[in-house]
Amino acid sequence: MIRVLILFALVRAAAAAELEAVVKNERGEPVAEAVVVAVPDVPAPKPARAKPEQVEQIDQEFVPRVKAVLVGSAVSFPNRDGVRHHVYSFSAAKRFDLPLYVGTPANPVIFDSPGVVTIGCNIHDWMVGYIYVAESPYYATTDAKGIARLSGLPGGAYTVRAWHPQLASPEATTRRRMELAEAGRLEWVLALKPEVRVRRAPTSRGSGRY
Amino acid sequence: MIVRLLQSLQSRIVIFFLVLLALVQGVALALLQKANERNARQHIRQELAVGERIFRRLSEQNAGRLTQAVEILALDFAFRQAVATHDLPTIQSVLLNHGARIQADRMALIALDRRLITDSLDPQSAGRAFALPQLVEAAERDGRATGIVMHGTRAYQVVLVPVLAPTPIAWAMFGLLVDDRLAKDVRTVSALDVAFFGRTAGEPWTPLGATVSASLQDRFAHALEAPQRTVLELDENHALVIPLTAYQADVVAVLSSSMEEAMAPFQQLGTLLVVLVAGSLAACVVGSIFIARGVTRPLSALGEMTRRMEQGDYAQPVELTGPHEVSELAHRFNLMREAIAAREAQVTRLAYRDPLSDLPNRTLFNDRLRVAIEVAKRSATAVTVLLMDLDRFKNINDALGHHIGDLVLQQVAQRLTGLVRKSDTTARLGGDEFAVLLNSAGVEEAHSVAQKIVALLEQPIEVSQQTLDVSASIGVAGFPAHGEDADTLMRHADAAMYAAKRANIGVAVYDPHMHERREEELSLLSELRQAIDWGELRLVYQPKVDLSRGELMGVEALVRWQHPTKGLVPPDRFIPFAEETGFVRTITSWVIDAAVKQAAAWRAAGRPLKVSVNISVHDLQNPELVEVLTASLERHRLPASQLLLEITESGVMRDAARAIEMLKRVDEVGVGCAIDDFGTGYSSLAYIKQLKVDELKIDRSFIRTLVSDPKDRAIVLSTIDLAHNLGLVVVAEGVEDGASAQLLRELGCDQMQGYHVSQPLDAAAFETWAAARAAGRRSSIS
Repeated sequence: MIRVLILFALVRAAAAAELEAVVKNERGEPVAEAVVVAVPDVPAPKPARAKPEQVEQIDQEFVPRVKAVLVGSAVSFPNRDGVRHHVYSFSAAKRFDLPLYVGTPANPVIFDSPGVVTIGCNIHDWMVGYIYVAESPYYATTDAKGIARLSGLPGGAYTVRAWHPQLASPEATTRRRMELAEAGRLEWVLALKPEVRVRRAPTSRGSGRY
Repeated sequence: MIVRLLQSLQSRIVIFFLVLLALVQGVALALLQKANERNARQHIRQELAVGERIFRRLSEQNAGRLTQAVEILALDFAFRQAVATHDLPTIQSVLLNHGARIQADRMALIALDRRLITDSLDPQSAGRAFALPQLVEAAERDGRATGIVMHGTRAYQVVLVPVLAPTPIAWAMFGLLVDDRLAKDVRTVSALDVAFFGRTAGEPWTPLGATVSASLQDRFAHALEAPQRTVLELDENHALVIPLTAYQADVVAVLSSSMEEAMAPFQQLGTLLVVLVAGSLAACVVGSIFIARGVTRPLSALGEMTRRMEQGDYAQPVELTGPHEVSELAHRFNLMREAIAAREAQVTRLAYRDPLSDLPNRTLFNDRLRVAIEVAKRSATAVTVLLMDLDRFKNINDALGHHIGDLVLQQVAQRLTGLVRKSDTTARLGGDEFAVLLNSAGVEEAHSVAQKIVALLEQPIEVSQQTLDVSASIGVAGFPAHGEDADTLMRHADAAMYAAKRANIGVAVYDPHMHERREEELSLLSELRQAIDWGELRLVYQPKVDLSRGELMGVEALVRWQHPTKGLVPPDRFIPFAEETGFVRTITSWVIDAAVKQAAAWRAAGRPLKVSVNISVHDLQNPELVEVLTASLERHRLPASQLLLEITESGVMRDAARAIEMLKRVDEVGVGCAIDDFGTGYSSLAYIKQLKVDELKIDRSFIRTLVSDPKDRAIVLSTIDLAHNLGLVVVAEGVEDGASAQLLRELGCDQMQGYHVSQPLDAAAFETWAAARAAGRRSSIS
């Protein structure tokens, strides 16, 4: 597990290419929490072990809401609230169910299939989180400015795609081909669906919305 | 009928108030009704508006209930798990389980790709495309969708929510059937009737459920058009059409309320008002009849009184109590009635009473006679009329003045009324003429009554300390014996009275001959007028001789009428009628002239004779008599002393004053005068003293019985003495024999006249007679 990590760092260090991706919506506003994944034509060397990831529950929300992980990653769901949570997923990529717990469940969940795993809490219906399980190690999530920086990419040909929880069209339609040498830049304008969410319970604090 | 009704004041008053009140009440009712309708309509509108809010709230509640249930379902972990793992039997059982909790009628699960996973209405539909993509679109857009959808001919209020895990993995739908039950629920809370209608594109409106009758649903369905919020007015039903949120269909709820229901409270009030109106109309009729009676009853009473007055009944006063005006009017009417009664009584008295005697007058008598005849005709009884005339009443008037005459008439009237029955009528017809109507009395009875009257009147009458003898002549005529009608009876009674007077017999019953004679007299009278012109009148002469010496002293000229067909008509057959008509003056003039002419002829022949001419009492009234005399004397150159006028004592007494005056004037022209028929005229010596007369001729009635009756002899003797003392020549008339002549001679009578001397002779015969007598006398003397 540790070796995989070291190898990954070496590869990054060996390649100096960097990709800046910008995601906007149709109104030209920056879109945060979009995941951009670059898949090289030449498969990247598999890291020995994927680094452990975590999605916390803070103030009855998943933090971060969108979490991109490399396939095979183990994700733990530490509960930072005073209340219990019951995290589950019925997504095809990963079905799991962590019955009511406080603190961090003993075993992390291994996401061994690429795809989007939507996670919820059975007792807090408004809590929605997404774990994007990427097949490529080159991915990033846009910040509030809609910018995601992918770094340490070896030069070569890539297929780059973008995903967002509210993406109206299938993810495949966002695919781009590009030759990456030192630095590259891509921009997406995504059509987004309205978000369907359960309203937060009135007693809960926070900025819960639909 | 209506016109007659309106002619009555009472009806007019009643109808006026009735119509007025009915109009006012009718208008008030109509206004009220209109206001009520407006109120009711407004009330319905408000009711509908409120109903709409209630209905919407109810719909929301239903939707909320559904939503809640379906959301709970959608978040059920096991359900989500079943959905995520496509465990269809589990899905269906959970759906049914949750649906049953809220008695949902339809439960369905739709995949995100809009294919049906399961639908409780149609188990075979799994895998097919969901028929209501728009509902899903709305849910995708809004997070969930509520609305009404059609399924065949049924409609469901549905809620579609996503099954979140925690993002949508499917759509869960619950639905409630829109049906009669729902309609009943709506009515329970809104108190309005409700009906639901739905249609899919191109289809007519279909009733879904209602609380109203099927027929009304049909009518609503007909009236419905686009699903818009509109108000429908179907006769008594006011309805509000509320379009409902529906997907791929039009669905409306029709809230309705009937005017009848809305009007019900007003109708009750209206019924009460109608009763009140009817009551007030009845009260108005009664009241106005009562008031109108107050006006019309006095009018009717006064009308009745005037009707009685019209019929001559003034006796009954009108008695009215009531308002001041009415009693005052009644009082005035009574005063008027009394005044009219008094005046009419006076007029009647004037019209029907003789003011002097206070007896009925001719008019009233004739009226009563006519009535009595009518009664007698019917009852087959008799009616008799006595017509009475006082003899020589004129003498009393002339001699003693009209005042005394009036008193005499009054006394006669009193005696008459005292004699006859109350039921009989005594009347003064005018002048000295009286009449008595004897009801139910035959001629015989009437005759005896008449005799009593005559007897009664023979008793002397005392007026102003004078005693007067009155006598009367009475004619009797009776129904049905002497005439059938009043005029005839009166005429016949008159004829009878005339006959009685002429015959001096007091009472005469009518006899048809009287009438015939009367007729004959009238025809004679007309012929008499021609007699002078045609020379039918002639004079005869009766000599007057001196009793002691036998000397011819003169002649009395007597008129004769030689009628061409009737022969010689005696003077008493025509002179009375000539006197009545005034024609006697013409006859007198003719007689005077003829006599004067003859006297002049004899004088010229050497035989001067004094000629006497009879004049009538009517001649005394002729102011031209003296002129007639003088003219005749002058024409024939005869000295006035050769002419002597003879006038009867009764004629003198009939108008003594005029006689005195006339004889005085005659005397002035030198013509002498003689009083004829002396002893029959009741003359007063006081008058005779004043009369300028030369001769007194004693009436033949005394002379005829002179020899046999010593009383007559005494009368004649005293008359002769009286005359001689007054310086008058006394002539005896009607001497028919020598004994009488001898006696008269002994009594000292101066002259005589009569058949003993000679009958009247015409001029030629007289001359012959005179010549023969002269020769005889000469021979006897010689």
